[in-house]
Amino acid sequence: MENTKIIGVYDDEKKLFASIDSIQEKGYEIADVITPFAIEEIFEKLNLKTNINIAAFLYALFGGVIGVFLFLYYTAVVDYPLNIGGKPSLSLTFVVIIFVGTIFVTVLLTLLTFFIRDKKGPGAKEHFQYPGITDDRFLILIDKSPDLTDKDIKGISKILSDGGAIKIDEK
Amino acid sequence: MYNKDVRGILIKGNKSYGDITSEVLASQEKKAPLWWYFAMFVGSVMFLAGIWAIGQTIIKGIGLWGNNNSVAWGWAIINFVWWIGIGHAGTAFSIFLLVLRQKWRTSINRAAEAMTVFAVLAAGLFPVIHMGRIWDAFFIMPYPNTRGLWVNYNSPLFWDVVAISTYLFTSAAFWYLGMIPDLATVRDRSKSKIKKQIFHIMSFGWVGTAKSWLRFEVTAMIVGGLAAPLVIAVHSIVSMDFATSVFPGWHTTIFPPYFVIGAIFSGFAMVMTLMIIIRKEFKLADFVTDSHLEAIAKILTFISLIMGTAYATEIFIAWYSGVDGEMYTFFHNRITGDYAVQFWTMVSCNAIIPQLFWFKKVRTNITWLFIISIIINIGMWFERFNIVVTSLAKDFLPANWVEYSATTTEVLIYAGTMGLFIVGVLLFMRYIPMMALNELKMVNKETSIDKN
Repeated sequence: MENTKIIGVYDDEKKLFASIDSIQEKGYEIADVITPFAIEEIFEKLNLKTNINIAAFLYALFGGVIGVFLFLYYTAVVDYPLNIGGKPSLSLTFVVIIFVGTIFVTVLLTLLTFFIRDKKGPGAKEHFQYPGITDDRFLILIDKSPDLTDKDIKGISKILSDGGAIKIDEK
Repeated sequence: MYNKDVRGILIKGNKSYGDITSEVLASQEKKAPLWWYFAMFVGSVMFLAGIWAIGQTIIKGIGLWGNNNSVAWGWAIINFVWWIGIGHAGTAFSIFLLVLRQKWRTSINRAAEAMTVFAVLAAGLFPVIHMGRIWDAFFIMPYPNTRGLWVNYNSPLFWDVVAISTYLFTSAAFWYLGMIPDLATVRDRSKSKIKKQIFHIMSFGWVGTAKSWLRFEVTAMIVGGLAAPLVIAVHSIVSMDFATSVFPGWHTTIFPPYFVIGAIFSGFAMVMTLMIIIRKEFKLADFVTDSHLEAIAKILTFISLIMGTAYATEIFIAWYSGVDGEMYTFFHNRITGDYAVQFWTMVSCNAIIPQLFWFKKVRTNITWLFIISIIINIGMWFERFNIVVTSLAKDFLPANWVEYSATTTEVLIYAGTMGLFIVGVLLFMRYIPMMALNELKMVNKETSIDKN
């Protein structure tokens, strides 16, 4: 079962940045940050990385370029070569279909990767809910793990409120 | 880096994030205006008329159309190319402007992408019906079958199938992906249980954690980045349906860029038409500012010049080639002959009238912008008419020369696709956030707070 979270609620992203810095300086670990829109500074501050771009490249190379070419080669050269005015079966026109086919395969597999990695899908349960997070509220979540002493918890709350949190909550 | 002084304030009124949410979602949360029901009724009637005409075509055959042995492609292909052209706007806006770091796209991209999806759906109908035996349409797909035969990969018509279906999939996926965070916003604001449940399903469990945003941004950039070359590829491939043949007026290397730029031209014009309606009817002038519309007008002026250059180049090359068929098609058939009215309508609407945007008074006047945006799409329809009909009606062999006119069935099918587009756009306006809330919030402080 997941730990209870200490939640700092903000109404401005600038205050959120300052609080993230202070919490990290004090050595506390931030479990998550929730915002109503993408903020690059937060990715940097939390040192977040994703490999979706590498996956997309591999999909394009193997699924797209090589996969589509092999499909075209098998169907048009090996299985049933059509003789159209003596033109070669292994044709340059493959490039057109390889180009578009690569885009199709890469988009499809990249989207599937995103949905699977992020556990998203039609009707998927929201793993955390709090009023205003998809509107105008910015949240810092800190695990209230058994290792934290009362002093730690008070210290975290102080950092959050000093940083401009409009509310400090637990959930 | 973007400088607000160039483009003006992007979101007026010093809005808070909450204001952005409530103002953009007001169209869903309030009762629909009367005009919406009226437009929905008109769109539905047109759509049903189109379905009836398609039904008649399937039951009785293509003989109901005005096509004949010479003009084998008529309104169906004109309308197909016209809709595909309009369908290029969404991706052009979303991707090209994203790549160019143009932040003014944020108010417009969602509607433009929606438009793309409905326009491509409308376009895709035509080749399928045009096959005649619609029940055998799946023969065009490469799949293992009892005939032991695969499709012909050398045919531009097959390239069309691959390109358009990929474009439809990619643009619909990009549109939906971008909408997920905003659908979550609607979910969280919904008071009705049914609405909450529907948007819970549609929002895919979105919460907005930093990790999700990072993955979302990277995925959107990849899908968008891949869709950008697709825009070029799709319309280049559509142009090759014509350019790889030997008909006068078609067999020309200018077609791919000429088609792509024409598509973006008509798409941007349709975006302008739609954004003016959205801005006025849903009171969103703070988001779609005069500066946004002026930016589109400037792009249209530039593209109009390219269109004019393309028309002039075609004519010059016809003369310079010294080929009688080309000379006849351009100088006698189009410029001065039976189809002169259609030719000059095309030139006036696409290359001359948009030049009025050079005047600031015209490009900052909403009425003028609205009228000219519609004129451009009329002109673009006539461009496709010129390409398809004038070349086929009088080819190299005078014995083949025939006249072509559309029948009621063809007109009704066209009206039906208009109905499909109108109904689709109206449902979008009513039930889905019309603007990308999360992207508007992203640029709000940076480009919109009036520091004066």
